[in-house]
Amino acid sequence: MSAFKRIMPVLGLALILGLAPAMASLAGARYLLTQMTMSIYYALATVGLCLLMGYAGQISMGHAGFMAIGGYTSSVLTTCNLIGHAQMPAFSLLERSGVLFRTVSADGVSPAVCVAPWAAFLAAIILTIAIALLIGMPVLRLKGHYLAMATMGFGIIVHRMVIGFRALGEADGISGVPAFPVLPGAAISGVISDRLSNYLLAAAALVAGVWLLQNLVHSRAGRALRAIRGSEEAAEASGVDTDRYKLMTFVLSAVFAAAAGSFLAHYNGGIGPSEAGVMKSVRAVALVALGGMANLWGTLFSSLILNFLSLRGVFQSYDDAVFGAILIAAMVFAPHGRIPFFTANAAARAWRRLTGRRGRGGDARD
Amino acid sequence: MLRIRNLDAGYGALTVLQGVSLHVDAGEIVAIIGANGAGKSTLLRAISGLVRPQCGRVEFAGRPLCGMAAERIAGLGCLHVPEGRQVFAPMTVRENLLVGGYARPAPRAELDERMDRVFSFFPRLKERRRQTAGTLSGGEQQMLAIGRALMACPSMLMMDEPSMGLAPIAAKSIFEIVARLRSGGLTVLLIEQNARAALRLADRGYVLETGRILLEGAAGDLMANHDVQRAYLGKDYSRIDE
Repeated sequence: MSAFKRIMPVLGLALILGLAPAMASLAGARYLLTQMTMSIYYALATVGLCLLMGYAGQISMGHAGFMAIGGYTSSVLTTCNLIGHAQMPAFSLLERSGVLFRTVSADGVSPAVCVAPWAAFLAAIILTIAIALLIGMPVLRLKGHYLAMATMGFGIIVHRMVIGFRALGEADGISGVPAFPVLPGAAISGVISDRLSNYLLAAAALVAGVWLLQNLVHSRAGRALRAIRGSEEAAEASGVDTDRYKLMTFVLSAVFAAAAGSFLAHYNGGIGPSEAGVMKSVRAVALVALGGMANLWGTLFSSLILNFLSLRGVFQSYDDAVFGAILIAAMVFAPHGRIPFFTANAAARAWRRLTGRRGRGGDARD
Repeated sequence: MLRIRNLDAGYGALTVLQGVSLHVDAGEIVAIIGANGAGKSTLLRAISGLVRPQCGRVEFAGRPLCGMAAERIAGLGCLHVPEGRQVFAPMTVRENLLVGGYARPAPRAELDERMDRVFSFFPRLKERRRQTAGTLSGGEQQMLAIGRALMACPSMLMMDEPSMGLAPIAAKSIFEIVARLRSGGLTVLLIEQNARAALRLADRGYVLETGRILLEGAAGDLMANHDVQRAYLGKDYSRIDE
């Protein structure tokens, strides 16, 4: 696929995401931007899982665990008060290099010193990579439902730890997470007046993430992943280092989840244990399945739309049931993906039918 | 080229191969015949590193293979064309071939050159290079599986039941391809249930039964052997269709 054909859908996504806030404000519903922003972050985590599940064919039922690791690392580091350690020799060095910054604690008066959001973000990503390697190495030897159970176990452990540790806020979670200045003049925060810029930041992050994945999928590594999904044994016999590619993908998908979790924590100004719940992982799996497995765009749009509806409360208290039902339906009707809607090809086919033009190449999958 | 001494291999506690010894010299076609479950596939899988040998020695081009990862063995030029073809169905023919080149990474220009060579060998694949592998016929898929292995510039091909599930005419053309590959300088280790076709093609053969080598010899001698005739060639019918 040519670079041009590859960038077109990404530009299309940027356009759709760019127009959405204009439509929302035209409709006089700017408040929708909040849920739109959040669903974009969830979508960022889900497309990472799509790479692992859809392309490499390795299921993970612990994706929310990685999202929580990202979110909690950022939250803990940016809210913990390190002023008691001010005597340590490295302290002033860290402060001068901007790793630490002075602020006031939750009472609004007493001085506090916390880790800067960028440094916390970096730490979150590094921690995630380390944990993903540690978990991935033994677990990715497993296949099918054994792999599903093992990753689910990991997700449950993260959930219980988040609830159980005082430092992680137990059932209350962590609040007071500061803004994350990512660009000059633009910070990820829940400040109402910054709602539009925050939405655009999230959209930019998603477009960048999808662009990266899109390129990866069509690269040498992406071909190897699809080969692994096609037949792991034949891939191995053809000289594909299946263990390495599987591990790499597992780590990358975890990084996507952690980055999304971290951004989301800054956006919400906090994080709670429900973010780490098993149902959040199931939800991500359901969205990838609904999107058509090896279908980045399907996953992206199913995730954007359904997470948005869920956050708007459309499913009321049946939220989890809806996603469970989606997963069942996807497994029954399209166990190997290939759900016809949402695909770029389906759109191309519909367009051809409408215009009566015959395309060449037919149904070559992108 | 390939030398195996006292190889034991199996799955977990199950030992399928017991004390298998064989060799394949450069430029030969060697056939391994045997009934279902005799351990033919396990033998190939043990050589190519998909199954870890339990004990014994496997040497390829003078290098010990035991314990080496499958992708490294493929990189040495010992390529396994797996049973049932196992093409990457959702990927295009071209992509399948590109993955075949992973065993011996090369710059794009050289990969294109290798692919042109595969296409000149299998013009059908060239016609269908943009098609997904899942839409190919069985014979074409087998060509693709062979072409995929050829992309790694092998010196030896190990083919597991290349005629399995193919229409007789497609099977025949696959055997012709094997012959052409050998005249192109490849060494071939061939596993077949179709013992007659395999022995006709091969220089030498081994008979594998319940994990042990029972007989070995020149292909013609094996075809003439009464036990082989009775067990694998259907003795009474063999003369009629000659």
